[in-house]
Amino acid sequence: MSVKQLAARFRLPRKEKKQRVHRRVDLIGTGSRRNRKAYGDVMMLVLIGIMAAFSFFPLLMAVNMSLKPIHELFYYPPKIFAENPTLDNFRMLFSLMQNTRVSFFRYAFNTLFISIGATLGHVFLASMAAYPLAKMKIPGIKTLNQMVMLSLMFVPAVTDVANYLTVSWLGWLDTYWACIVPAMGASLGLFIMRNYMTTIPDTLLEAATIDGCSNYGIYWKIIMPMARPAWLTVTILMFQQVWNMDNTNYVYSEALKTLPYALSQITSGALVRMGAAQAVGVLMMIVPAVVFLVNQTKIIDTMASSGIKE
Amino acid sequence: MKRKGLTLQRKRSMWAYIFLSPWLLGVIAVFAFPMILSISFAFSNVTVDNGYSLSFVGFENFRTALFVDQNFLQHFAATMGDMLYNVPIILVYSFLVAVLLKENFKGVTVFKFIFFLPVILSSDLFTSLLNNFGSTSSSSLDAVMSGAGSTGMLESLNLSKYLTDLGLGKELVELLTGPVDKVYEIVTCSGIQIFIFLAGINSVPPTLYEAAHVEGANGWEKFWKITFPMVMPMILVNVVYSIVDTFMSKTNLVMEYVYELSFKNFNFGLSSAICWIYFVVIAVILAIVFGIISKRTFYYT
Repeated sequence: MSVKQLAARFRLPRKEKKQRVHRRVDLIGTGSRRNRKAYGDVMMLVLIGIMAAFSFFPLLMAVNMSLKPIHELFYYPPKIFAENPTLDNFRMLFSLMQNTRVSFFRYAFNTLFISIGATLGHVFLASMAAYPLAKMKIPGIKTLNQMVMLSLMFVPAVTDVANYLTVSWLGWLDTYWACIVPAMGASLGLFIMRNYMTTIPDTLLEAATIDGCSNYGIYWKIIMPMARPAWLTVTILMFQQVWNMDNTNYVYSEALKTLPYALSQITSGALVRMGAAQAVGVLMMIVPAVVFLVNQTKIIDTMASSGIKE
Repeated sequence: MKRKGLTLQRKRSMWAYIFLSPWLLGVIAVFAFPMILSISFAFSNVTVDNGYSLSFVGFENFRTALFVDQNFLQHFAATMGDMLYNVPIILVYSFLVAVLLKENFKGVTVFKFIFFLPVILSSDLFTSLLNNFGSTSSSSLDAVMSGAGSTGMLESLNLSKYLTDLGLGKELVELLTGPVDKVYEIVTCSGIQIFIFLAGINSVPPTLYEAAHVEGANGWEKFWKITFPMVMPMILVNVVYSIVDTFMSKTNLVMEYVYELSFKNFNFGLSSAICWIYFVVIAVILAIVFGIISKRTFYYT
């Protein structure tokens, strides 16, 4: 064994330099990254901090409102921070919850079931329809795309009456279906996903086709993973909408009604319930907030891992 | 030569329609049927008894909406003005926020969450919680309520009352509080747009930036020559979404009026006619905007 070989044996394996992916959007544009880095980062944080302050203010107000004892709610002019924070409002709300006609958990279950069902159903159906609308060149696709646009701007005041007629004709009045199915047919999510999918490179789909991938395979194994940021965004959007939906238009039996209805019933009517109403606001925020946070951690840069090099 | 099975074109169409069929069924139920129903409402006098009955009156409802009704055109003009003013600001603001959020600094999730908060807080639930009190309390209390309620805090209503009490002139007060009102209108309306933009910006292939970096492009050039054109399809989405959102929100004047007409006065004929006029105008606006933007849209394929 030569000296050289021996040396090679004891040398640590050369670490492969991690390829640094450069995807910073240089906003300030001073060219050299190192120079602008500190300055630019501070500027950016200040800017984003100011804008975030505006968005954060409502939460601050809502939480403080829920902690205020009842008389402080009527201060004029109103104050932002509670002077003597208490949990009385929450205590009152919980004691009110125990006196509902149907168990409180039933309302909570209904809301969760409807929200999750409608959201998943919508994302699945709409993404399935978005794929051909974005990527297939077949006769009639242009008309369909225009139809999606048209259905976006249809005034809800008109569809309310017709939807009621449809739901009752289908025999879905007073069932979960009455809330889940119409939400699934909403076209907003479809529109967002369809437009996102147009940015997926055609070469990828062609490569898959040549390798013998079926249409279903392309949808499930290429389109869906690539369009992940889009459908995750649609998920939070839909969930948020359905979560706050009052289903009393279609549902009459108490056991099938949702949380927004139950809570607004609890808190309506008397001025003394004002504090409880504030507590409801804070409590109802929690689930969409959690959904959002979980959702955001799942968003990754899909294009970074698409494997396309030109 | 005998052809076996379907042609490629036919096969593709078949697959496309298989994918589309569940949604198409939904569209027929949720969109096509209401459309036909409301057309028939708009052209007739609707009487609500046990069910409803129609009697054809031609363009009578449209004439009423445009020439007799005093409220519609006024509300309509106000809504249009709001839209023209708000949508550009919403777009610029949300794009800026999205670009900033794209930078993966520490704690970015916290910031994302904060920017999403107004979306949660501005939902119908919070408005309805407030309305429950509005209907039961006397009008003098209403003003205080809207200051204390969770949606009222998004407006400077209480601030303007306070300033008026201090003895400032009405014009001066409006000048001071106007922008504050708008700030919260913009902030609450741009929550979703930020995340649509973010999804778009995230999808830009990093290889493009690498190449540009190697070629010596600076950040300004990279932004305008890579990020901006690559996000163009999402800009289109957001323009459409923002316009539709401002027009369809239940709090805008025309919508409130339509709800009042149809569910308080049960004048379905007139409200359908108004909806159709409204619908056609929005469709024209969207078609123009869509035409302008999609011509400039660049698809990276």
